[in-house]
Amino acid sequence: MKVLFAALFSALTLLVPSAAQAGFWLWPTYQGWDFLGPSTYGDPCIHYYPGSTCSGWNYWAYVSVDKHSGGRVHLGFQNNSAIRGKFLDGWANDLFTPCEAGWCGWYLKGGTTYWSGDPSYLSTQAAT
Amino acid sequence: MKNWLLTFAAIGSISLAVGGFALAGSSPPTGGRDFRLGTISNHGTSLPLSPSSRVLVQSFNARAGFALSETYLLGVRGERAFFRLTGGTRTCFAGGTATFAGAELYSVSCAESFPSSQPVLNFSIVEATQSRPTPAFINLRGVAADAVATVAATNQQGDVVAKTAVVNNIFHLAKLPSGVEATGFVAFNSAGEVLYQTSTLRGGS
Repeated sequence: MKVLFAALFSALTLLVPSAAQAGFWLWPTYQGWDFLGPSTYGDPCIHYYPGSTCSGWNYWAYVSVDKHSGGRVHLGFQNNSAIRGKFLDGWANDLFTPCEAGWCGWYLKGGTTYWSGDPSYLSTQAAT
Repeated sequence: MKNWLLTFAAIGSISLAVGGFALAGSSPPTGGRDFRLGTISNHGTSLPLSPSSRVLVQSFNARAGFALSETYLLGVRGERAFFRLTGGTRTCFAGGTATFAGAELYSVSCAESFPSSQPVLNFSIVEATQSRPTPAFINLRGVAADAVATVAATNQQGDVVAKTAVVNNIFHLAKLPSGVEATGFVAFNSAGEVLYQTSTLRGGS
């Protein structure tokens, strides 16, 4: 019986994400900027759009972008059922939290997606 | 003596002209263009940041190389508060809530284009879901220049499906009517003329 409980507990800890997973995600992976355009293959997202890059899953505090040029991008979060965020055009420096999306305290992926116009020269990150 | 008087008069005229230009919000007079497209009269009232938002802004400053240090509450619409952040040479805007602990920021936006070349800083959320893959606005919120009187959400045919007034440079409509696919956003002046419009559709503007 003890073995069964131990096995069940182990399985549950694998299934239920920990609330204390400190994390940081950065794209591009070096300290700098890169072009995010329709042909860019970034880090994987749940809802795929050409030219998107996403963090892993976590209880992120925010996702942000430092955008130096280019057309429109979508900055925000996504889960298995939806993607929510806001548009940024031209030069922009923005920070976006899960609460802004109406997803306070949710387990999510953060990311930036090319939307229209010229590719954007940017760096984007998420932190817990 | 007469020449001295003329010189003083000329300097006085130039000073008045420069002063008037500065009061008008640093927007150069352009042929027929409403200078209020580039001004925001509501400067807000000072409000400290909540402890958690102080950490958030410190992190934002460190990453962006900014020195945002002052927060001003522009106003509250429903549960939503709008803020102006300043520091160094930078002015940014933020959305969130105003609590007893201070300004709780949910998003910070620093855009070169606002308000100089774009009269709206749009905080409206764009959503796409598995069952509704066309991206659409699910609310209307943001900061607008003095010339903007109302903002609206439109469907793909261009029909207005929801509308709200801009009061003291801020607007907020917490939820759009259910069943509408709001793929467009339009800003109007008090005469009902379109000042700015955009679309959620990929490849749109």
